[in-house]
Amino acid sequence: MQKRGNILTENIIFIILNLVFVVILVLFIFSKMSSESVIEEKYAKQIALIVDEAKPVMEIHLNMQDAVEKAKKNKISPENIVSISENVVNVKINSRGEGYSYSFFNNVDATIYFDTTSSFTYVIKINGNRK
Amino acid sequence: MNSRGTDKIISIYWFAILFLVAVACVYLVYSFYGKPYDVRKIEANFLVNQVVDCISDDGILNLETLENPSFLEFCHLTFDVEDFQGWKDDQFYLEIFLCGFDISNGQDLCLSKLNFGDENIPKNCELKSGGNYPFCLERSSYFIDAEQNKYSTKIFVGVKKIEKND
Repeated sequence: MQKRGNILTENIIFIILNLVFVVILVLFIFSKMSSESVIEEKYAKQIALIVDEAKPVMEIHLNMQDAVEKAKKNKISPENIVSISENVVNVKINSRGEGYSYSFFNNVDATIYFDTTSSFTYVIKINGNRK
Repeated sequence: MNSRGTDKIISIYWFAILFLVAVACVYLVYSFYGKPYDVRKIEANFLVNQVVDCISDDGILNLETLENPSFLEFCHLTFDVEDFQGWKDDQFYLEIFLCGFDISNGQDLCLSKLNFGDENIPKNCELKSGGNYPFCLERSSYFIDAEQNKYSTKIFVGVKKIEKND
């Protein structure tokens, strides 16, 4: 009877250790998937490519839920996540560092602002061609 | 006693396997997420689209556009880039060949060539396109002009931006 009890305890410990291992691995993968630098790069490039293919007077709505949530955690206002200066897009969701920048070749006057009526959407507006 | 010994050996093997799985996962995650997204192919395609849209209007070639001395400004293109690791505005290359198109013998006779940007990019692309070399793309298009003359254009585009895409 004593031996049976030992076997059961050993198996339970073994299973728990395996589960702990799997959980740590999954958490590691998810933490890398949603790391701030990856999100910054993803949105900077995505917005630059959107502007490259856009034509004047277009208005594009972009859902940036994961970036907004991360920025709020880092005490960055959602309005300050994305900025466009001349032809360079900058995305910053971490209070440390400069964020991630990527340029677009389409010589248009593009502006971007956070849509306060929705919780996670940014609006990219192509006002016209730049001279 | 023997059974307990075997269990211990199996347990050591099992944790060795788990360790290998963990190392493989960490390696894969770092090799995938440690590298930047390579968007140069999309960027090059968009650049070609913009040039084609600029030099033609509903398939009718606008020859005056190709003769415009400020072609880039006219086509709303800028090759200025962000300040990053000593980048100067040399991350793009654009080359346009305008050729007459003779259907009878299927040969192109090129009439003119325009090029802008860093001329080293096509030389590097001869070695390799993409990865830690610039990404290059060539596309041919066929047009007619207002007098129904037939033309073919070859548009060659190169995007460097290696540090941010590889």
